[in-house]
Amino acid sequence: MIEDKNILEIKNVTVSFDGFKALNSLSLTIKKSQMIAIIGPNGAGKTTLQDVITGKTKIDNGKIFFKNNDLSQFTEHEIVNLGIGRKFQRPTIIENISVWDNLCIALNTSKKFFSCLLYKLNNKDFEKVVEIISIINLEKKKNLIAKNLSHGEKQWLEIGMLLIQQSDLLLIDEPVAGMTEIETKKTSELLINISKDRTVLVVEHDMNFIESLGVEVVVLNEGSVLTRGSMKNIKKNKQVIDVYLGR
Amino acid sequence: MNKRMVEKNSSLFTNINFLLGDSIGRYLIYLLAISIFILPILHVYIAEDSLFHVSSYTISLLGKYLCFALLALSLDLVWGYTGILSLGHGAFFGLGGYMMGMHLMREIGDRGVYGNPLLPDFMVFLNWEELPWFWYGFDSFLFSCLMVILIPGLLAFIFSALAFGSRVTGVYFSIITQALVFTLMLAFFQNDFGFGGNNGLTDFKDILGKDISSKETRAALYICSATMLILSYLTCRFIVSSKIGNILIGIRDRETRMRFLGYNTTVFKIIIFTFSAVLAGIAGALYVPQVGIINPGEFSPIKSIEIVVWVALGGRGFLYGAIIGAIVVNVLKSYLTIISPEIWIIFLGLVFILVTIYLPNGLTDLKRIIKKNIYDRR
Repeated sequence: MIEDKNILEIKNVTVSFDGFKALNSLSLTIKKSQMIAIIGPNGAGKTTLQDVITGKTKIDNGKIFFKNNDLSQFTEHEIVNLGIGRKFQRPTIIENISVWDNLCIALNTSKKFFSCLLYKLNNKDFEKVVEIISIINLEKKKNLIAKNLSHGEKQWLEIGMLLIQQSDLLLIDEPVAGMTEIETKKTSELLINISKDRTVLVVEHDMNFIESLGVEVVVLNEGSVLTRGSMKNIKKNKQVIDVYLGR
Repeated sequence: MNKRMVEKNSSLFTNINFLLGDSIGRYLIYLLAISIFILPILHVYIAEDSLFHVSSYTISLLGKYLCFALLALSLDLVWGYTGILSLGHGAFFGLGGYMMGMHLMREIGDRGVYGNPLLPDFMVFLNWEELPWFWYGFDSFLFSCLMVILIPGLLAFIFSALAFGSRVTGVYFSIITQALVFTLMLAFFQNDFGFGGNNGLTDFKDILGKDISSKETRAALYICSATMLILSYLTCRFIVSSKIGNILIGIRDRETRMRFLGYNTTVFKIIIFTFSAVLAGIAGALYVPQVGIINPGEFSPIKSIEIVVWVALGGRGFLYGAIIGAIVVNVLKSYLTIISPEIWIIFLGLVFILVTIYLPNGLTDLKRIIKKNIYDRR
């Protein structure tokens, strides 16, 4: 029911809150190992779109398929275990444990109570944590309690947690909001690096950042897809200029 | 949470000995273990006029403190680590106590005031003809012990499954735990409910065929309480120093993140809450034979809130803090209520406020402050 080259197919999804259609028969297809940026004005449905993919919000109409699974059949944590990771807008990490422990609890080992109770860090997992810590550039801070990290470092840690969880699809909400220029640049490198072998869906307002990613852009407006294409073409699109980019 | 504590925890994944890095807890365990050997001997074998004699009043009092410590420990696991503030843990403590009380009532046999071999006194007084069905089986000690675990555990399981399953959290959960304990109090106050109403269950004679007020029994009950506290502490410490510990902290601090890491947080919360309730029930069951009575007063909402105060004073999220808090507060209570019962509640309130302001981690902060002062002087 889903084409092999695609990882996610959203078909005519509608979600309404008290009559307001946050998503209005939205359809979107995303290929494997592709990075896509989603832009759109406030209220276009960017966050709701992530909420329905991760099962946080139930859909009224339509279907979402992820690797041949109909996502309406699964709860939030089951969807995660199917391979969808979500990075929230604000850094959402466990503040009171160390960077290392944050990554350990994100490892894609069994998430059942009793296997966690008897879990011992083995060599394979140990090396994985070490590898991810180096990808997110936090080697020197691995024993630091996470609340002492800077804003940017917290964002990277959360991305690291998604990586170690081995999600095939990452949903990333405004990763560079509030970051310094250097941090933004590092984040862009990090995202390009990780999108090599997984699908990444980034929501962001920062146009320069999206341009630096050099990826396909999807424009949302009033709950459906307005257009999609390269940044260059999007910038010229009259409709997009009208609703979002401004003249 | 204390930074040092957490840093030590991080090495515990690879650590076989989960007690390393928990020095205060370890000393506490040693102290309890030593008391198991010394106190009963001082109580049973030393002459009563000797300076070293431990009176039966004292040993029962200490045993009672240990039951409270176990109760506080159980609350710290759900509140300190998992962030679930239960204002109704007295419900499980009381139920455990009632289960043991029912057995002790049945053991009285025909030695009651009315001499009825089958019915406890209060049933004869109410003109009941036969034993209610839910009293069956309680003549067996083993069955009663099973019920001590099963009934509080089952109630906690159903209650928490309903609450956490429908995502009731935070202050709303705390309020319904108060409602739970209040409901139980009202029910147990009813004479028709079948648990002795207002007066509760009392006038116990024997436990396992031994006189309940004899020196040997008192000593044995103290040994049981201390042993149970040690075992429970070790179990709780094992849980929080496994991967579960960090997961529970994660649920406390960022439940959505944990859910989006693939954890079914509802299941974790139900398991921890139920386990905690079982510990509270065991504490209640050990408490009843030592104080000789169980009545619906144990279900009064204020008693459950008092447990929270013990844990807050001791410092939550450390396990040993709860034990220290429960013991310190109850020792103070014993002395102050002798001097003047009225000032006790005011004193408790005042201490609670002061601790919240100046020692956010309770008495465990004292260690940090003392250390800091020593370093500053150098």
